[in-house]
Amino acid sequence: MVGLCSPCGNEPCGNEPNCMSPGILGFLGLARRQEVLDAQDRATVQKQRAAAIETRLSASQLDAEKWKWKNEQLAAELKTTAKERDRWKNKAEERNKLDAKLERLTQAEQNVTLARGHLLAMETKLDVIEGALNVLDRRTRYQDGEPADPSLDRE
Amino acid sequence: MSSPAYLSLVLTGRNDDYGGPFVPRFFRVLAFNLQELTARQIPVEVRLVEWSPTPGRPLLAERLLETLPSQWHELVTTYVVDPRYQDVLSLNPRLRYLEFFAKNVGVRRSTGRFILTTNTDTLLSQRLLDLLAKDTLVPGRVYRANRIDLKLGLDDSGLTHTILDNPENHVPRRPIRPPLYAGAAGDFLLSDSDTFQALRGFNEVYRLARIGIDHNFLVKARSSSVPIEDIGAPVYHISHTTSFQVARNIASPDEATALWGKRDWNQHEVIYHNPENWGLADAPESPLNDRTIRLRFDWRAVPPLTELRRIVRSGATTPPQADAR
Repeated sequence: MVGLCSPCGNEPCGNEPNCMSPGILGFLGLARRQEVLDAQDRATVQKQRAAAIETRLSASQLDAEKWKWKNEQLAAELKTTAKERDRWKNKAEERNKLDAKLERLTQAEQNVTLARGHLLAMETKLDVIEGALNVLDRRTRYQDGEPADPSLDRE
Repeated sequence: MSSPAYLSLVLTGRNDDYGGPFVPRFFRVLAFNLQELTARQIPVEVRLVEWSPTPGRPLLAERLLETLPSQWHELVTTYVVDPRYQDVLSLNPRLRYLEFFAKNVGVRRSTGRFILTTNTDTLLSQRLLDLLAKDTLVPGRVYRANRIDLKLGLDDSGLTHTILDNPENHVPRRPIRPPLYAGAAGDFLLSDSDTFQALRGFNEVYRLARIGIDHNFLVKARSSSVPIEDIGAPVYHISHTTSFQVARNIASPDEATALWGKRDWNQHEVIYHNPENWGLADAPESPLNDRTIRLRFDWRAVPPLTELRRIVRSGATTPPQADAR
């Protein structure tokens, strides 16, 4: 009977001439020392791999957490920035409105100054007209032989 | 003095005891200024305008020639202006003296490169005289000077620079400031002849006031883009009882009107454009003697009672139609 290669199961592994003994050992629930050592080595390697994979997994999980957190942060920042953008946009609109108002006010102020200038010039002209009328009145009275202005005679 | 005048001093006054003993005060001030100017060899002429002389009193021109040392006679020309001009020009019968109309008569007839319109109670300081002697004045500008008031009652019979420069004899006063450097401008307005001609002198349109006409000239100069500067040296003013600073608080309303005319007019905002014959240019002249000329009355020299187009707001350019008939 060709025993099954214990390390390989049903697969031929090249140790077939010696497989009897492992078969017997296997029957007895035992294995060669070398096989055990090999198996232990393989197990150790596999454990190390598993550990490394586990470490990498942990690191990846950490990374994932970090990126998730960063993503959340960026999302929050983006939200804030969007809010800021909206705020500045509103401010810019307000500023434009204020600029337009300021321009209108400046124009109005110029108009007021101009109007005031015209009014003062008009007032000055009225002064002159009043002065001229007083002078003419005085001359008329003087020609008629009346005192031009009793208050002047008191001086 | 045979050389053409560098500086024309334009003054106005009459023998009327304005502010107390006017005549001796005026003569002392004039002698002081002429002494100091001639000592520095500054070619100077004086254009004194005796506006509307007081009837029954000797002419100021006569008294001046009697009193002033003869070496200065040729420097002084007096224009005696017929009193009818005051009567027909004034738009305020209570106002007794159209001071700046009178000064325009002197400005119009000045021959100096530079013209200083000042007052008969104003003394030139040492620093100012030295500055004038350096011949550094620039045409196309109006120069102003700080006025330092001397204490009322200070003996002015023997004035020296030591007395004038002594701060104990001064009354504190706010210094002149840009842009107009206004404040007692009537005491010191200096410019070259061409600029005075271009501005056509002081306001002859608003003939209701005496006060503020000097300030109004500065507003006119600024509106005409003529730079105004502080000359950098003061003049001294002999205080007297009719000085505005003294009398404004004690004069009755009638006295105030007689002295200064309307006080609250728009001197800061409204300017003028005088007619071409400003300064009584068309008044016929006849000599009374070598140094005295009478300006006879002639209606052709008198501007109309009102010419409203000649009143313009400050900052506005002169309307082209202002000179149109």
